[in-house]
Amino acid sequence: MKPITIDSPTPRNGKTGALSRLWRTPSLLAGSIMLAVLVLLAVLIPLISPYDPTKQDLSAFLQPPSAEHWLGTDQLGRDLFTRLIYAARTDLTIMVLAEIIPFCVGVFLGMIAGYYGKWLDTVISLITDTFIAFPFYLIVIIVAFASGAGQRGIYITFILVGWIVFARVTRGLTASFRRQEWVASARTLGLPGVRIMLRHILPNVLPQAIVVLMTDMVGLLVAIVTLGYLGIGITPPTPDWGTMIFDGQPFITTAWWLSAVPGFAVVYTGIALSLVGDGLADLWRKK
Amino acid sequence: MRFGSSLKKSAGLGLLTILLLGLVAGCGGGTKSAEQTPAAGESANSSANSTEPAKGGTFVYGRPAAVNSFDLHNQITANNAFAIDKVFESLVTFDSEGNIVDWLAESHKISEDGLTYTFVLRDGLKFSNGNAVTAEDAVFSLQRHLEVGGPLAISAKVDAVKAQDDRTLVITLKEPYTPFISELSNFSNGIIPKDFGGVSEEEFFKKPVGTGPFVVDNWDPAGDVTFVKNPHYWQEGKPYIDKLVYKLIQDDSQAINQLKAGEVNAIESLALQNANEIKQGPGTKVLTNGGWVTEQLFFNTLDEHFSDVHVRRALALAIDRAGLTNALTFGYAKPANSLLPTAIPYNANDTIQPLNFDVTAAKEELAKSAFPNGFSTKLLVASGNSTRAQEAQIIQAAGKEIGINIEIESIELATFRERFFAYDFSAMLNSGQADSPDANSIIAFQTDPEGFSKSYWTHYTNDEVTKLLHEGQKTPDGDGRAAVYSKLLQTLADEVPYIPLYYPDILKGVGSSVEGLTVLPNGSLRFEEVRIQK
Repeated sequence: MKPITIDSPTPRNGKTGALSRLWRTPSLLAGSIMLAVLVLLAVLIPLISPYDPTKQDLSAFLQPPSAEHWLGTDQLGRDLFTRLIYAARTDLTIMVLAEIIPFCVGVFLGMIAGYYGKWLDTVISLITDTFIAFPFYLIVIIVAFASGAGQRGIYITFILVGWIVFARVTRGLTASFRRQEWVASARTLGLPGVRIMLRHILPNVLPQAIVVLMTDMVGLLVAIVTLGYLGIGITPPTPDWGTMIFDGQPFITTAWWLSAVPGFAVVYTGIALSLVGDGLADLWRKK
Repeated sequence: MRFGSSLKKSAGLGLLTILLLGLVAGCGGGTKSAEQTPAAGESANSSANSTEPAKGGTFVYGRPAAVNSFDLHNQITANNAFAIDKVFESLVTFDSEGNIVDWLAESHKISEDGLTYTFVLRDGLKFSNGNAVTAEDAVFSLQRHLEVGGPLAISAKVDAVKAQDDRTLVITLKEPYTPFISELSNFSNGIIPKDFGGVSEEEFFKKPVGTGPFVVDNWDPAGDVTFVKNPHYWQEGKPYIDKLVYKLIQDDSQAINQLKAGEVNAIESLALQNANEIKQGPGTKVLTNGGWVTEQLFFNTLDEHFSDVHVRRALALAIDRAGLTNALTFGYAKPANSLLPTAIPYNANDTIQPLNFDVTAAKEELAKSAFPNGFSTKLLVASGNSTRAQEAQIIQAAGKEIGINIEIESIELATFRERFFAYDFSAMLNSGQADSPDANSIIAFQTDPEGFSKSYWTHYTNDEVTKLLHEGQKTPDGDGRAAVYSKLLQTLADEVPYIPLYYPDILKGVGSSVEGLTVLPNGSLRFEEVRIQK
């Protein structure tokens, strides 16, 4: 009667079980390692690199990679490797922070819309459908432009548009759970709606929401980089992959690495996140 | 659970997106250089076998903006100016060094008192329709310009414009105005037939008739223009080419690719950072000339912080102009000391005492200001210009050294213009350009608080400077005028309502097979002697 056992919020077999499951899910393993490497670099960069990411040296600009500057220097004589990793700090931090609120809000709204249905569902669905009707980047660019360049603009933009995808996913799932017997029995037992949602439905929608979160983070990262590239995202001198790609673009034929390396960093992070998301989906499906 | 497969798909889609992004960013270089290799062999062969360069042929010029009007009295922007000057010519012109030379006039004379200008037209001069050019045509042309005014209005106080005989034109002024002869070299003082040759104004400018080397053959105001050679051109045998096409290529990188592929013979707009690529390219070269442009950091002198002269001086002292020029211009610019580019007479660039890079002095200067502990401000920059974006970052870093926290505000060009026209900025990056080779051109635009530009929207007002500005306009050419401008420019260098950063060269990307192309210091080209090797 209860499909709920497919995932209980408490880990069942403790550490060894989790580890062995990780081993059996190679994509999750690979993704986690890739992410861990990047995060570790981002945390330790002040110890690894002797350079300041914003310190200019106008006498040492556009140097090719060397032992001193592993990836060379940019047009203003800043160490490219240092900027690349500091940019990972900037972009990953924004990516995570800008997802937290939309994730919580989206899951919450989706759940109540799906559970209570009726007018509440109509209103929330109307809003999500309206947003979905516009191309994502159109909304992003309009909102980012209106709220001004810089990190504040990025947060505002993604808080405004980011929750939609989570709301849609959780709403659909909740609505389908609601029609199933285990929810019906809980209701006949007289449990309050809030309790049913938090204790029974949430643990069931959360895995899928988290998998969606991983995919969505990839999209968000690309959007942050795109805004930076377009000059309406992170403002200089804060290092960011998007502005680095833009800054390097004029030298694409003479010093291709200036743009290609930050481009590669975006691809790398994207692959890592996608692998984690994929792996989590596999993991939860296998159980 | 069901959701596994659909999730995988969306994860894959995200992956695909970023992979594509990476490809776009990373792969341009490799493929391009592969394409170039065969072209290298070709051009080496053709130059080895070259004999007498051929006459005739079609020259295709890639330009970023379309020609939308030939009305010489109402236009100022390069897209129109550099087409108008192919069709209409002036009595005098400037050569590639910026010297004034006789053009439609075979000689000119300026009276001792600077009030009477006498021009004698060349013998046998004809319009492109075969009609003779008389002094009456010149009178009509200048009269219309005086009536219309327009963006390049004649600023001399003209008393009368008269035709003494068929070939002699006399202009009298109410008071001396030394820059007059140089302003007459503007394309806006070109000669058109009297009464538009008998057609309406509108019709005339649709099918313009002038004395220039080329005649408009086919014109799409939102696209390309095709010119054919003027059979009656006064320089016999010229132009050597039969046809000239202005091809609209809005995107700079596309223009570069078309130049490399040989689809165009030259491109008008070549960014500094692409110059070396074109210079080293197998089938391409770069033509340069010193320009009439000064890249500058402008201050709004009504701004809370930048109204303080010590603040402006402090920032000027904090900026390493030589380093900035070196890092951003790849040898295609000179660091600026004076407001006037070195291609303009009386520029005083070598004699002036500018505020040179000195962080200690900058800090001392800021200590004298009303903001000894620094402040926060914004720097307005038009987006999409990568050199300016880098420049802004250098200035930001320079400000940081002395405690001025600068936020870069990068906005789209149209909004940028609106903002500074409304004095809605604290500091901005922009450039000043002379329209004619006279010191007055830039100086009047940038120091006259009563002029329409209000000292280039800085609102800089200094009675002494204004007095010198007017004195410079009246003083005849010579040491006296040099002294006036050197004093004026020194005052500007001391009070820095704007910081001259560098003088960028004019850069044109040209195919290797092109010979005889002349680059003028205003950015225009002279095609009369162009030959294209086969």
